[in-house]
Amino acid sequence: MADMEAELRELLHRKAAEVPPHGEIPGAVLKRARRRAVTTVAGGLLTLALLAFGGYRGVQAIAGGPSRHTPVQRPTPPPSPTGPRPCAAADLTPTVAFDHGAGHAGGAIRLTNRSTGACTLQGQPVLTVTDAAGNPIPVNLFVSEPVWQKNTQQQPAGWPVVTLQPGQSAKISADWSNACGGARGQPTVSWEIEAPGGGTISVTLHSDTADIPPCNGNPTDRPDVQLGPFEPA
Amino acid sequence: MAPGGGRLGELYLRHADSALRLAYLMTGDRVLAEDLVQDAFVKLAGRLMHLRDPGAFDAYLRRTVVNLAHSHFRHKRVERSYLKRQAGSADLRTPARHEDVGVREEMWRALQGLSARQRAAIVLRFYEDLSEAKTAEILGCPTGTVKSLVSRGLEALRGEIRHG
Repeated sequence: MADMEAELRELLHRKAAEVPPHGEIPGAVLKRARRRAVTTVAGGLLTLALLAFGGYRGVQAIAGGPSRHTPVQRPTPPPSPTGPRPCAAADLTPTVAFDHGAGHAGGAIRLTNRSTGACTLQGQPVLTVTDAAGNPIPVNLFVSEPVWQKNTQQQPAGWPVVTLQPGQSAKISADWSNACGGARGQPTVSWEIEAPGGGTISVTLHSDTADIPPCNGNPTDRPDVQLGPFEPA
Repeated sequence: MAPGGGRLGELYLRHADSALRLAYLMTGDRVLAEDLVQDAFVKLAGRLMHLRDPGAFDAYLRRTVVNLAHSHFRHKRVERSYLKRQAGSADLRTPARHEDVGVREEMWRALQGLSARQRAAIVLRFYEDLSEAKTAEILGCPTGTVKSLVSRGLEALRGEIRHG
């Protein structure tokens, strides 16, 4: 093992030494960089101008002073979509399918539509981790790629919207490790996932089934949690 | 502007070589490495004025190079998986093996066959000598993931060299 690492180190340094040193910045790079810097500055100035204008109009509106401008028409709200509504927590039954090992617990959380109508899930789930008493446990949250992307599969139809007909399931890929901090020594930990249509989907993880990974770091460390977006199961 | 491109020119003189070596180790291709480093400098040029700590430029540059390499390989991976599907079960990743290829060259080839994230973790750990925590920061993942990327990467290298 150590031999392999030493060989690898030597190889990487030898290969790196093959790269010849550079001189000054190439003119083409400088040109592109200047263009980029100008675009960034112009974008920033435009944002500032818009903010200043918005602020001025806001102050005017609060002061109730006469305005020389035509009153701003509120935009007409878009017609309500005729497609399926966003799934509420009450529509979904969660199931946990976690593998365990190497200090990790993870896999997928399946959400099955148990309602009688179609509903949709979309985007990155909002997660709160709590202990058995309902106290929030701070975690280091990382966003992971959807499984279809990791496996270089075809993008599912309709992505990023996942439409669930009654009985169909969506999934969220999840993995966590180093369950220290507030999760350390807990018999159960709850993952509270906000449903887009309202309410919270509660997923209870048990230490006796190893769904809560061990704390391998400092006892006060936050657990590391990786969560992917909603995707078809 | 000062000769050679002012502040960006100075930063280029100071950091381009190390960024280029990192990009080369991650891609195994000098031309591609050069393109990635140039793109990284262009990308960072727009943010120079927001850089409060000039000492942080090196870390920003490293992270940008890693991200650009990762995104390059993600596109390639999609392309490759398409080609693979077209070509049946042929494994396009593993290069042909020649009798006269030395162990180091074999290891270099095997390294190029790892996933972009495994390769990045290995290069950052064993070439840049970064800690697991620093590597995790650059890759935007937990330290546990760095550990598993490195150990799986080493395992795959060992397997390739043994069976190659």
